[in-house]
Amino acid sequence: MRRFSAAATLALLALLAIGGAEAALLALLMLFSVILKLRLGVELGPGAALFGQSDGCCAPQVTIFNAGTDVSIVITAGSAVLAAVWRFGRWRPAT
Amino acid sequence: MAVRTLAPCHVKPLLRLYPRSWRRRYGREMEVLLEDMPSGVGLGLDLVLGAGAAYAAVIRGNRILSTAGAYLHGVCVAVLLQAIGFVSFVLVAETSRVQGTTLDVGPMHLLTYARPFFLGLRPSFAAVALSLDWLPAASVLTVLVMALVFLLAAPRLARSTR
Repeated sequence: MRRFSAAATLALLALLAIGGAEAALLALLMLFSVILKLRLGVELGPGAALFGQSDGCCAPQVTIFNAGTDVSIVITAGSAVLAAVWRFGRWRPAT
Repeated sequence: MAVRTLAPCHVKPLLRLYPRSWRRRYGREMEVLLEDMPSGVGLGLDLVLGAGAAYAAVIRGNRILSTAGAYLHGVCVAVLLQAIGFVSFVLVAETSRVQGTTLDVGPMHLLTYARPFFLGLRPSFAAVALSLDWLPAASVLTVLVMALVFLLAAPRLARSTR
């Protein structure tokens, strides 16, 4: 039971880290869209959100589709799992 | 010019920043050492950096903590790589003359860049090259690449400060 709760906690923390990373990435992209004077559109399921100046009719628009978000989550999780597996396999106690 | 110094009693609380196992082993010894040392802002900074190095050593010594650290490092690298990919895409799209640029993987549309449409007029190559619109994107890209290099070198740097 203790092992199970430890594994569940670890899995939840891992998911939380991915969620936090995706939120940080979105914040970074919003910052870049302000610096680069872009309008940023993000598809969220059936809806969409548009960030940028309301008077920015002449600004170029970058749109991230649902597939882009999915691929981003896969890349983040994949990279994290790969790094963790690599370290777990290569870990040696300090001499 | 007088350099501000910190009394030993002001520096000592910084020892609480160190991991418990470290304090149990070296805490008393370190307190005695701090009482004898001429204290200053430099010493305080040294103690803070030392606390970071001590935590890194504790994390490296435990397989689960080390794996968790590698997981978080992987997450940070992935976020930076994606940010670099985004800015590179904007840079390529801004310097091209086409109306819109799309990034596809197979049948999936991931990302699209659309320029405002002005009576079907296309910017000339010279206008694109001379506009310097790409300069902010290139600057952001440079900063991101530097941050990535630092992030990749950070574990090695932390090991070398042991």
